[in-house]
Amino acid sequence: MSKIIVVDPDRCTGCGLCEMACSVVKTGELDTLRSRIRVFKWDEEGVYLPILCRRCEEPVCATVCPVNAVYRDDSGVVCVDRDRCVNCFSCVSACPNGALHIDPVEQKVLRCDQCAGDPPCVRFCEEKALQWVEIDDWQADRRRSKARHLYGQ
Amino acid sequence: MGNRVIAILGNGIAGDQAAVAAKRTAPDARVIMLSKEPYPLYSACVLADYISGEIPRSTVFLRSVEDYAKAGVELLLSKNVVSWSPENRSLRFDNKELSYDQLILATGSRPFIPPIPGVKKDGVFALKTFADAEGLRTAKGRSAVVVGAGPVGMEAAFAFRRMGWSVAVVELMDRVLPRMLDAPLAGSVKKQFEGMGILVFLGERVEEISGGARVEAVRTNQRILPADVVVLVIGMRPRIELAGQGGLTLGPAGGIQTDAHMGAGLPGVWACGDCAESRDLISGANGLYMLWNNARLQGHTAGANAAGSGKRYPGSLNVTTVKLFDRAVASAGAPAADFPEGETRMLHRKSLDGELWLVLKEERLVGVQGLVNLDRLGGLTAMMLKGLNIRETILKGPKPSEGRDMWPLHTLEKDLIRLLNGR
Repeated sequence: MSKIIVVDPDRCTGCGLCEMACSVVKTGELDTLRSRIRVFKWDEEGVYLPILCRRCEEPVCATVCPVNAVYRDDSGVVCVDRDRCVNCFSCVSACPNGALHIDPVEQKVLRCDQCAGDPPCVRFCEEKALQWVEIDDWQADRRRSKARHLYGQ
Repeated sequence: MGNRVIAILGNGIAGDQAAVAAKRTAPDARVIMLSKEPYPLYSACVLADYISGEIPRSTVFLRSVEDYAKAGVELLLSKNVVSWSPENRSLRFDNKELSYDQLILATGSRPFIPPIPGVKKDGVFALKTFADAEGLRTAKGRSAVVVGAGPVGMEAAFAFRRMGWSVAVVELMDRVLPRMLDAPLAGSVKKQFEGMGILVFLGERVEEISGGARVEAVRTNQRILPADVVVLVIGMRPRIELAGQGGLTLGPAGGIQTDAHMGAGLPGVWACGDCAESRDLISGANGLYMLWNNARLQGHTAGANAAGSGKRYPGSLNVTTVKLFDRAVASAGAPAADFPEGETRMLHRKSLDGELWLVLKEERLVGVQGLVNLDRLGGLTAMMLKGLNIRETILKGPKPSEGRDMWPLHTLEKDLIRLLNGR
């Protein structure tokens, strides 16, 4: 069984705690420009969209990588092999989800690695816009809600 | 009764992916990979970094001979295939005959060397193979002239500058990275280059490479530039000699014509990578899209299909990222310069974290270019591929339920609407 971070943008209030928690845990400093999760905000409309690596079935970042440094590990997380990576940023400009960033301090690719099963962004999300759930449960939920939608209940 | 033989010509990324996909699809087939190169798969994209010593040799090489053995692929290196007979389904090399059932052509491309006097002199290099890179890495001297300001030329110039050489770039077009960028971002890149002490001469034609046995200078129609090393990186041409022997049909750009399954027009013959033409996902035009990502997917498709699967190749995507200085510049789709004047509208956005340039045609994106901050280029490319009407997308969203696709346009909405309304 493997777990993933699931995003429910409808619950997001744009507080930005996830960005802060991420940068602190990952880099030791509070700098949201170094966060692996980013929240797009349309304040006037009250729409917020947290974005992080969605672990695509066929990752575009892996297709464009000139040194085959992008791979999927046993838990399904799409990772970058830091020993191979040449920091060309091809993956950053190719990601269709806008989930990869350039660390302005270290000039390296920032990519969510789900923190080995204890993501601080999820822990700090009080609105539960981010949740750490079993993939199977989440897929069952989605099927149920789609079915409900189809039959108008 | 032997197993069926899938022969692959070429061991670039297309050939490599074809071999892996073929073996995976048909584990009992004999997959034989032949290459002129003495090395297993390496990445031609990072050779400039290797020249400057930025990355070690081990990073350039992506597979070892043992990797292929482990995968069950027979690898034959330094083999020059001299003839191909499609009727007999056989290839000839080293006075040997190899019979195959399926053939995958992944012969790649070679640098175009212009017919100017002096190109044969010592010290004149192309930059495509590992041997070229070794030659450039060990070259002696203090000044380098790079002819051609495409991605490879710019990276080569940067590499030599990093090693402390004095470097000049000569480009025939009116801007650097002409196939990637339009004038504004190209101007910014040129300025960065000049800030590093690299001379950039645009709109100049190289007329002669002069010297004795060794190169001493490059003469353009404007000036004479002293040179210990000349790097000719004007463009690539597909390697199609063997394809021509077999009577394969060539496409409008001079590459092997392929169908939606990477079939090359004869039963059991497939083509992929730099030698093959394909369809552009955005413009729909057939041509040569010699990029790593396209070669990888084409190779995968061709390999799987040669082994009996019925995969479709979705099409090619023109997306390039070049890393220069400590910053990167990237482009997807086509620059506005590729369209007749007046057919496109452009949006230029400069901010603290870089520049963005959007090219729109009839309310749809056809090209995006970015400097430094590249996070949203992929999202914009996805909008381009979907063919989203930008005006409608902006007017509809953002709503929590349906407007999420529009995040790449975040903070650009007003400028875009103004642009589409005719300023």
